[in-house]
Amino acid sequence: MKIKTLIITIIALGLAVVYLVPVIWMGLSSFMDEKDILASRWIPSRVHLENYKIVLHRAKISRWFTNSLITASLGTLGVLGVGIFAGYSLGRMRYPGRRILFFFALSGFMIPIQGIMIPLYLMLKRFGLVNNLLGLILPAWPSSLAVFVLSQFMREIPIEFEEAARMDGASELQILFKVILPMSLPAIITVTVFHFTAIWNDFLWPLIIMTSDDMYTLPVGLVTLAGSDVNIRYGPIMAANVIASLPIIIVYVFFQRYLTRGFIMEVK
Amino acid sequence: MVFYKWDILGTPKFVKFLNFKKMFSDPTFWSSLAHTFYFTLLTVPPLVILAFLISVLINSRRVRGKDFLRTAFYLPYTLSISVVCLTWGMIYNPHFGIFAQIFKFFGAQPINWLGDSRWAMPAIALTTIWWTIGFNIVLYLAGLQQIPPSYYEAAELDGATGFQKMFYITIPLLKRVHALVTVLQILASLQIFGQVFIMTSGGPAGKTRVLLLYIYEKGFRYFKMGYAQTMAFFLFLTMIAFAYLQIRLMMGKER
Repeated sequence: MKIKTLIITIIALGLAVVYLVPVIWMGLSSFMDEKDILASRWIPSRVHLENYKIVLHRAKISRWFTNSLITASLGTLGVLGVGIFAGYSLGRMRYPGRRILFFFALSGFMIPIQGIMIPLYLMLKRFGLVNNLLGLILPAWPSSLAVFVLSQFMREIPIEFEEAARMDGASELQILFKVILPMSLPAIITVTVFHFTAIWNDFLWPLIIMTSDDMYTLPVGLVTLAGSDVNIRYGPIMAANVIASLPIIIVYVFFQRYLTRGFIMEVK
Repeated sequence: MVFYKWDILGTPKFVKFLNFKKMFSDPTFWSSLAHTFYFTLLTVPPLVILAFLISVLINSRRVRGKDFLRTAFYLPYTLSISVVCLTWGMIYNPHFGIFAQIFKFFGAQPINWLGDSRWAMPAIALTTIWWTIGFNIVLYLAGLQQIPPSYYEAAELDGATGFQKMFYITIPLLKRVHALVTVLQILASLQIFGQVFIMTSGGPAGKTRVLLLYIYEKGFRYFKMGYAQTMAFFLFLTMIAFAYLQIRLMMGKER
């Protein structure tokens, strides 16, 4: 029994470490000069910080970082704003037509941004939101995933809590904010982490609507950086990769234990 | 829009079904569609099956260090597509990449993965699997955690083996999760764009040009908005059936 535990654990940990090799390699390469990389070294012959200096100095990486941060934060806030009200309404309230509304809310899944990117682009162009951070933030707000996760989670909260609050004369909004919302924290964390990551990492949409390199987000900026300057080779690109990834990795490592708790999966 | 010839500067011109006619007789459209399906075929089965197996491993009572395991397998998914593709571009490098090092170690000739028309798409598929499997693992773990432990205890009392527990309890109980993960994955794979855009730009010789990349090229490089939207509409139609299934799965039974 004990030995079996040990063996399975070793296999699992071994797999996980192999899985992380690309990330580890990225981190190590960011401290290497070109010679080390071309010689396929794994351990830098000396810690080479120039890569970070080059990237921070020459590229507009801090600008892109700010753009990404603003977009991801405001985008996620909007997602929560829409998702919490929609989730409460669809998950807990009883009224005719609720199921059809739920269907419409989820049908957002059916219309991926790719299917409507051209009309959406032309629309944003008309509103003057092309090459504008708002053009990234606003289209992110309606999220079927957020509505789904929040409504499923809120639905599982026992009705007694709500009834007790109603007895005390709480209004609908008070019930939502004082009773349901604090209890839905795991789902809110799940939605926040997912959407923050998704918006932070989105590639196609910023590529389409951002026309000047001042307005790029990190992912688009990184790719143009890799393609543009011949002096920026592997080492600096890996350094830029590390800079772009670190905030998300920190957020994730911090919240990862809550991530699965927010999901209510129907098992049958 | 699909009925208009719409170049971004000129006024849209009504052309009836001309865009559709053009699309069906455009060989690049058909090859892009085929590449998209090929990619979907390469990625969906491993992304579903491996995700399930890894989740079972993480969820197993016998494994220690669950937090680390979960973090390790989910971590790639938190990376941006640019970071992933630029890093893997280096890993696939035929001179100093990781695979080249392994090949050289065994005395074999390294393959130029992304420059070889046979290997470019599988290479992109492998990168995608590595990058996105974490999301499916989270869905599976959420499902696994909702199976009451009493089911397994009862089975153990009846002397069920681990194998039997797997095939008679775990797999059938997760029926809905299997279906949801599969449908979500098909939808995600059909939308492949960034990996190809960054790693090969559709090359070599157009062998990895997928539909969305072709739409992007037509719409935002040549500004054939009407034609691009016609193809986007076609992609949208192929996805609708899967999306409908997914919504049905998510809505579940009314209580």
